[in-house]
Amino acid sequence: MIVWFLRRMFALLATMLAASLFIFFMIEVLPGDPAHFMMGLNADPAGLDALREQMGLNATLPERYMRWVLALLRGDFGISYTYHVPVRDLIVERLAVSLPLAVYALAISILLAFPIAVFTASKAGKFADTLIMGGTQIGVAIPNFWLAMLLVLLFSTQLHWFSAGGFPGWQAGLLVAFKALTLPAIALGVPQAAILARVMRTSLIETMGEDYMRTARAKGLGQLQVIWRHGVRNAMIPVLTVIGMQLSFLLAGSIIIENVFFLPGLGRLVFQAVAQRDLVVVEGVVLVLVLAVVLVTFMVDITYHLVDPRLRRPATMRRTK
Amino acid sequence: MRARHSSLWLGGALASFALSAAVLSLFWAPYNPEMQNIAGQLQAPSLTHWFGTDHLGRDTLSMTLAGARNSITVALVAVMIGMGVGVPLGLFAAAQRGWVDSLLMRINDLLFAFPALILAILITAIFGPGAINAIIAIGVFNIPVFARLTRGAALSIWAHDYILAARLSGKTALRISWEHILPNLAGLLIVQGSIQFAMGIIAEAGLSYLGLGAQPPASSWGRMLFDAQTMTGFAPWLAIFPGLAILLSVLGFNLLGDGLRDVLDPRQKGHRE
Amino acid sequence: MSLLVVDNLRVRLRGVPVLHGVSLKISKGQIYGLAGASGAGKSITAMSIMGLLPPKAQVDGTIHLGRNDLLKKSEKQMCALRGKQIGMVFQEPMSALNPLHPIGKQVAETVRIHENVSRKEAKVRAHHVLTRVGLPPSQISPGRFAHELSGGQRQRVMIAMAMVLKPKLLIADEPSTALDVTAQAQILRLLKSLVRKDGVSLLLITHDLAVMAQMADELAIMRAGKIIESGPTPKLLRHLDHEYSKTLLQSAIMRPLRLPHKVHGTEAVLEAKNITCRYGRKYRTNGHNPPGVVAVDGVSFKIRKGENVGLVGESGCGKSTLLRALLALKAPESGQVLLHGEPFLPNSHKQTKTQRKHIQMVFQDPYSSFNPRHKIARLIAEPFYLQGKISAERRNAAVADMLEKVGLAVDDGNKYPHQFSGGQRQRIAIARALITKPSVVALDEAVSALDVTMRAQILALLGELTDALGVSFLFVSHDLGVVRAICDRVLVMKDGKIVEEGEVGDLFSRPLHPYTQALIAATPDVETALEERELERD
Repeated sequence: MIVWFLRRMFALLATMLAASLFIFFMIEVLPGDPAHFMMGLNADPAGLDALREQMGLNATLPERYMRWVLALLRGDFGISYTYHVPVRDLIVERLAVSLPLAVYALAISILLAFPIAVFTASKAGKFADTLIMGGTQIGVAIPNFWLAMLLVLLFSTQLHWFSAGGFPGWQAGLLVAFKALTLPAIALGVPQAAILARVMRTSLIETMGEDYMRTARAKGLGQLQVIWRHGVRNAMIPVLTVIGMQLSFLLAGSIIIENVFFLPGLGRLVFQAVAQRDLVVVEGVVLVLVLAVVLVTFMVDITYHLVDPRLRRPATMRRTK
Repeated sequence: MRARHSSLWLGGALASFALSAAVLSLFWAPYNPEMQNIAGQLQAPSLTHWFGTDHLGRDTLSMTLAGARNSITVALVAVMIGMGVGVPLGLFAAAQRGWVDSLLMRINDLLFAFPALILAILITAIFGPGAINAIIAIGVFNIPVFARLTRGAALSIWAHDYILAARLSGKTALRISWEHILPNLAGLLIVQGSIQFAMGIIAEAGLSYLGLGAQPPASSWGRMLFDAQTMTGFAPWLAIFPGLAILLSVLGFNLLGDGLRDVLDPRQKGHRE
Repeated sequence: MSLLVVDNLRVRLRGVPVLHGVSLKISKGQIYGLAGASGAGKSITAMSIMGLLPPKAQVDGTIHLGRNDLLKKSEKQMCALRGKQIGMVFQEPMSALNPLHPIGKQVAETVRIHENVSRKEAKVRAHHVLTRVGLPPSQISPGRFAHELSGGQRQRVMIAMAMVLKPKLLIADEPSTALDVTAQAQILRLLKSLVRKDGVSLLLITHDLAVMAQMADELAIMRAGKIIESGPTPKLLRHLDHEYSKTLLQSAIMRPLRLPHKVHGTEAVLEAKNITCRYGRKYRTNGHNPPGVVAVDGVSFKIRKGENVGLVGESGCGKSTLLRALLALKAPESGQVLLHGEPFLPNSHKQTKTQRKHIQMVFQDPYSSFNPRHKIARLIAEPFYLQGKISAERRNAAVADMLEKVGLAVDDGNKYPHQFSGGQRQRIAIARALITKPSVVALDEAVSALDVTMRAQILALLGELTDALGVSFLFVSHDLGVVRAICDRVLVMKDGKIVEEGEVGDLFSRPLHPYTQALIAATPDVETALEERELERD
């Protein structure tokens, strides 16, 4: 277990390193001269030189990469070209919106999906199941930003229950802030709930057909007890992967929703940075998002090992989907 | 059983409807989707303009048809990129195993850590927005999806005795992959292709909503929704029709994929009912 | 007084009748055997007694356990009976145990369901019964999980779970079929001693008449949802009435098909010289052996022209790994394989391609042996790939000829594999293996997956072919009866080594190595079992 954990940690670090190399290559190598790219066509030579100096572009590539990574390790993401403040501060400030939003949406997804899955799995093949599963098909197909627009149309424009966008900040009070995040979280969470419910239902149905469920019945457990004591944990294994993927998706995927609701999150930050060609910000935010995805995957892996004893043995069998 | 086939038929119908709309827009549209007519702006749906007109007086129906063409082209090419690169990679990894497999799968995992949207942002940050870049971003995102799927399924086929029989007949791994593995994967790939196609439509809409996809004056569903956003209060049709178009085509291709899975993938059959 | 009385039990599943009036009586402490081929309705009968048929099954007739009319009980009342009064053991202990719970907890669960005892008390009871089934907590921790046990140990856990509350009736559905020979013998012995000691009635379900001859007091033979005849076991097996039962018994008793001490050429067609292999990451055959462990340890032997050699051993003994080396699918770590005196190396070598036509193989699972998308003719012709371009006519003629040789029709070439039964598929596999006129064909457990009657037919076919074609068979099997029937010489393998080698007659009548002796003693045999029981009675 410890050896496995260390190996997994090593793989995590390697992935992070590779991801940082990839981002560095995309942003600082592909465009040729980033300074020129950022200042556009009408850049004056003096300004260019100053920017090159500020970004440290006069050094060799390996040197630049090393300097970048070392600075990152100190928590230094560079200075934004447009905002003239440290990128780290920007990211921390925006993360305070994006992270709660992602978690809020994930909670909605899980809370909706769980009962739907249990209910439809117990009614598998019946009319109610077919009907609800048809509903989830629509949920999967609905683009979240369109759902967001419909929600705004209904709850803001028509009913005036929620404001159509904007974020008052956490200092305005927890309740007010959460209220501002509610429509965005619903728009993000509902399509995810549909996906999760489908996966969970299939997994539950498959688990119910397993031999050990029959064994448990032969011991004298009733149908519901069998599902609760032996089914749920086994059925959760494939569901975990999907929950992990959803968390990563919600972190990165909130870019669009933040734009619909004018939320000052990471997504909106990076989107504006692209428009303003602020490569320093783009680089920092993309790195943070990708590292978050890698980290979530890592945590899902760890959870797997805690849930499933079959993975704990030394000769690792490959996990099959 | 009948309920399952109904998803195939319904999905097939919706998908072919979206496809024919795209094809139709090549030859004919009620109006020129790029033609502005400020005098006739923001008309509600009527017999002359079935889906109404937008703030520039453009015909929403014609724009939706043209948007179908854009969405479907992007999604199709992106699936082709994903399959074209991912499937050979997956086959190769499964045939080689060992360190080649590990390396390919690590690269795959790395790509998987870049969600399509992030990839698109990176690409547009460097090359600027455009339909081609949207295609590349979605296509690259599709690569690990197909590579993983192919590798996993190919590995399970490699475990069959008939592969051993082929090896005993002196066939090389390459030949076995082509002759025995790939044909047995075809069903699975068609199913996944259909699902990735649906995902591609959503992703393209998202990108063009952000202004990272097809650029005006070309029509795209995402762009139409972006333009409609500030006008939903007084011109809801501008938001409703393109959104429905996305919803129905995505639903169509998803249902088609599900239906095809039931017909093509015998592994699933045992689990039903 | 009978403990269990099943009277005129009729069951329909989704409207299709599967049991047509089954009646049986089991008295207290009796072992009642229910035999028959797969699909005869044995398991449906068991599940009817347990009340665990699929939800929409229609059940008629009566089932009495003591005074309880089981078919009239509510689901809640049945839950109270299951595990407490009726215990059940299933065929596949790996999938029948929950992979996520420790075994001790799973055994204790039975106690906790039915008796209002503390967690601690249930644990003590579980440890006690685990000791009784031969898994004392001091040696096998109850904190282990199913995947950390051997097949035999898993089945012991299942038995512990079923027996912990000393039920009145134990139902065992093919309890030993999925196990190795020695584990099978141990499990059967354990079952018998436990039910005898506790005075429990046992309903034993198996297709294996040899097991029945050893175990059952009373035996019933089922076919197509009916019991066709029943009676006290030794008497019934000596005087069977029904043709079907007779065929079943004849197939179970495998008689040697080869003449003893037939003279073979001295020329070795295949020779293994001091082969050693380790488990690798690539092409690992089964999940439970870590890489790097020696699987085959210095094995040498020869197969002569026209000679049938049996390679016997239990799972994990290294047979499959050795086979891969012999077929040049994987290079051995050290040692050499010689085919017609020349080194035989994996695919990358130029001459391997020309050599391959001399050695072919038939696999265990007739369902995974064929690409489902190809027609039979194409499948059989696949090894022709070795011979470069040959004309379509020649190929078709060879395929047609081969189809007839293995007892199929020429038209069958145009069909797909799924149109054939398991036995027919093994014929097709044999045809494919023989099409290049090889000198050696390796058969890896080639009849293990077949029903007894089918098995007898395939063995007879192989017996004919080896003489007619002068081909040597290397018969890899865990089943001594099969090897005895078809082989001239036997190699016994254990822990990667050949521990004994000899002519079939000698080896079976005078086994020298203790392991061979144990294997032979553990292999159920109808005749021996009946003789022993008749002796006991006298």
